[in-house]
Amino acid sequence: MRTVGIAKTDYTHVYDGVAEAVEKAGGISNTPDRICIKVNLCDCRTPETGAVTDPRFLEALLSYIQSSLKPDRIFVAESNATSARPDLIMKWLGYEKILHRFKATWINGSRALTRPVAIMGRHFKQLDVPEVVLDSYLISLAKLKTHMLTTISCGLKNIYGLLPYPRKVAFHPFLDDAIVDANLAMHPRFSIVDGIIAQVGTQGPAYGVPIRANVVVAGSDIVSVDAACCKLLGFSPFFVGHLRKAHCSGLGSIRPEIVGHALEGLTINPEYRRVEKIAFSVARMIRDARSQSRASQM
Amino acid sequence: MLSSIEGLELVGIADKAANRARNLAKRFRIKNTYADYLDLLDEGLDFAVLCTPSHLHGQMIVDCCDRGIHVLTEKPLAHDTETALAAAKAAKLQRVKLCVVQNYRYCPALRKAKKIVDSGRLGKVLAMIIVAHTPHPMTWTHSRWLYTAGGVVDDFGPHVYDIMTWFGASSPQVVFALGDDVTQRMDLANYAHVSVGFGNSMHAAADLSWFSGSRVFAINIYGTGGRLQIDVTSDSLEEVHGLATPVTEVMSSWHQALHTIREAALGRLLIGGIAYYDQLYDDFVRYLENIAPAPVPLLDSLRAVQIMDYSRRSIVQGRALRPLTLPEELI
Repeated sequence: MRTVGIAKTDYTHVYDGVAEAVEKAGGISNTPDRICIKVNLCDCRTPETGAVTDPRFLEALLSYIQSSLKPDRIFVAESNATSARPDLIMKWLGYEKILHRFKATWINGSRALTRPVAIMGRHFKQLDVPEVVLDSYLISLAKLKTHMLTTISCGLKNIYGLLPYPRKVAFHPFLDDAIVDANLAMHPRFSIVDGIIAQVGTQGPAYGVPIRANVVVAGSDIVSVDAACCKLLGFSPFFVGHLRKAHCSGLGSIRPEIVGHALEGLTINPEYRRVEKIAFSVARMIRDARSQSRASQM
Repeated sequence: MLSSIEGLELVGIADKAANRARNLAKRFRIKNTYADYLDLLDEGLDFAVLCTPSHLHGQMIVDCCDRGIHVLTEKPLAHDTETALAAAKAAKLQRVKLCVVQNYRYCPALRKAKKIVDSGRLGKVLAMIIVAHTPHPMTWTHSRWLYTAGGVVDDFGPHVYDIMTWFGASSPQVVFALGDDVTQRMDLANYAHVSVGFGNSMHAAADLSWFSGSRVFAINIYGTGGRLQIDVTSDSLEEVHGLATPVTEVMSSWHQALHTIREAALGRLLIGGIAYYDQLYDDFVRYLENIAPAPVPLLDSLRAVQIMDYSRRSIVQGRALRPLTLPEELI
């Protein structure tokens, strides 16, 4: 369960990298009939920035799934966000052709039918989840990124993006808890992280520094995969709030068992300036307080 | 902001989406909502504020002018030169005050730069280089009206053209623009480079992009007496005469650090252009009361539309274009 497969690759040999990482992690089990892949289209950015799922990686994963698992249906999903409309972004990034080729169906979680799911969450007791997600084997296809608010943004944070509510910025005051709750409600079965072009620095997840890390991380325990990514980015998983809370909530283990390349040789410099993060947080708090007091005066 | 101006009564709000109008009215305690803006204009208004997509401005301005209603419109004045001229003529004919929201004119660093230029400390201005790399409009609007062929030329461009005309203080004589679609799938210009030659032999160039990895709005002004380096995003200004020595750079960093600390303490960091609306609205009301000049002269707004319009055409035609001279009665 805690096994995490790591492969070194680039976009020229991306299929081999995906296959290697998935197989080292023990493979995708139970040959599911319906698979739903959650991609990351969090902002209108191009793939070479490392901010969004690269169409070449999606193509390789779809190809691998189709050739090795032969499911009846494949769905590729993303939901609207405060500043993103994935229906448009996926067209602009050239997903349509790929989906057509693999007979995969595009799902916008914000427009799809949803079903309430009761959870013993840290913040929520119930969350609406797209039905297709509940009826499918959910795979998270995330990017290897840093995040201004959550330090890293990999599998767990990617699944949070599938919540159907467009204004997810409203959850930011309790973001770590909301991430854990989203994963409790959607229960991802497999996680694969595209770190071929990673994104580091304090301005992630959209405006960080693109780094060619040439790595793919995969596993059936999304927390372990994120913990491995966390170490790759030079952070301790224990000090990343949503990872620690996910571990405590029983979503998975924060202590991954690495198969493949050792993490030590792969660690990338995250260029993460904690002072900048603190300064941003303080400035945001002052700004929010001022806008609230202004709103209350009106 | 409008509701906080003393003596001002907000009569109503019009929006095709009735729900949105109702929500806004509730939030700002506005009594009436309308699905058709003409019904609102028939309520005997003193002035109207147009916050609609730019291709609708022209007709709406004419409708306001026909009823003798003064207008403050979001940028640009209109989508193309012909419509802008029709709107300006209607305003002139009906003696209506017409002004375009150009909030960046209230950025303290830009105002200071304008004073420096006007004082002659920069000598004769030779060139302006403006870089405006902004996020895709998806980050601030879910509406798709900006996804037309002009793209970035129509989105943030009007702010940039206004600054060019404000500092250029002359008619654009020649416009040349290059632009393309970075994704090759959006079918619009999401980056563009616009060059403008003004009648007073000043040149201006602007680099506009939705997909740059840097979020920047910076202006360099070069004169025969020195140069100004303005970062509009962080509201900072540097004045250099001759060579920028290490001392100049240390002093500049020191001033910038103090400025950042002050802005953070005042809660003004990361706010951007929205911070300047209060002052512009105040000045517009003073303009209506005849105690202040127009916050943005109509002639500048007409010139800005010309630059936008001819940039769009230049991208399509792949050559430099000479904008038509504006009718004398409007100058």
